[in-house]
Amino acid sequence: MKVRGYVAAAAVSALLAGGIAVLAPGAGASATPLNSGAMSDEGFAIRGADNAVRSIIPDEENTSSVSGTSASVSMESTDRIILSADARVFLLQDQDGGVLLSSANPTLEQGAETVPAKFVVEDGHLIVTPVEHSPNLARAACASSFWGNLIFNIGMAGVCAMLGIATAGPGGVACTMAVIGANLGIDWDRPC
Amino acid sequence: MCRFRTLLSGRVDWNPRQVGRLVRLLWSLTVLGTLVGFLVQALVGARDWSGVSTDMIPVFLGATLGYGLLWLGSVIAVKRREYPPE
Repeated sequence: MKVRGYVAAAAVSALLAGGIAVLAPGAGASATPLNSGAMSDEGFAIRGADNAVRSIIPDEENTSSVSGTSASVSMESTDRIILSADARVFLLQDQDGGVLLSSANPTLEQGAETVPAKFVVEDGHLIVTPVEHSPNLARAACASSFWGNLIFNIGMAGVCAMLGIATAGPGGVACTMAVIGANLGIDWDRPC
Repeated sequence: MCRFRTLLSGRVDWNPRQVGRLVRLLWSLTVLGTLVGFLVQALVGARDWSGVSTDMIPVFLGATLGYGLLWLGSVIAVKRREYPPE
């Protein structure tokens, strides 16, 4: 199914969750929703002139270092992603330079307002983030909880060893039991 | 095991060997006890199986660093006692 750019622009608009960007296949490429019933949830596949299929599938969770909405990009090793200097124009090209997919001037909905956004490519993920982008707070919180858990265990190791030395063993063992209880009971991932 | 029993019944001095035994006991209890706890929690459905290995990383690293540094401290303390700085 060959789809011309202007038709596809309407067909694949709002494919990424939140209606963030209009992605248009280039001339000679075709776009197919992976699930026509839930296009925005399932993403879509693009068949290029070389007959190879690329796909863009929205991620359930943005695990990248920047905030916004992310999608996994599956493409051929010879394909190239080109971003404009201001990162507001995205092009996916095949090895011959043919445009498989293009998108420009994405926006993000933040509450009631729509803010201008830009593209970021990170580890095979295409992320649409506000132009004034901020770090991914969820990921930062996860990192803090990891370090919190680590420092807690280092500190408690010192406390338990000192108690063990002071009480010739039993105090250290009791302290260690308390640490095990804390490790099992504290939900360190809650901030994530 | 016998050594640990002796350890629990006697006084531990800042002797690196004795501190080493105590530290090994406490490290093993912390890491293995937490691992068993996580596995039990996963068995009863209170924790994801996939999260057990990830959650063990800070426990393992923290216990290793904490007890390792303390043992190293005891070794340095003894060395300084044997060879005091002039």
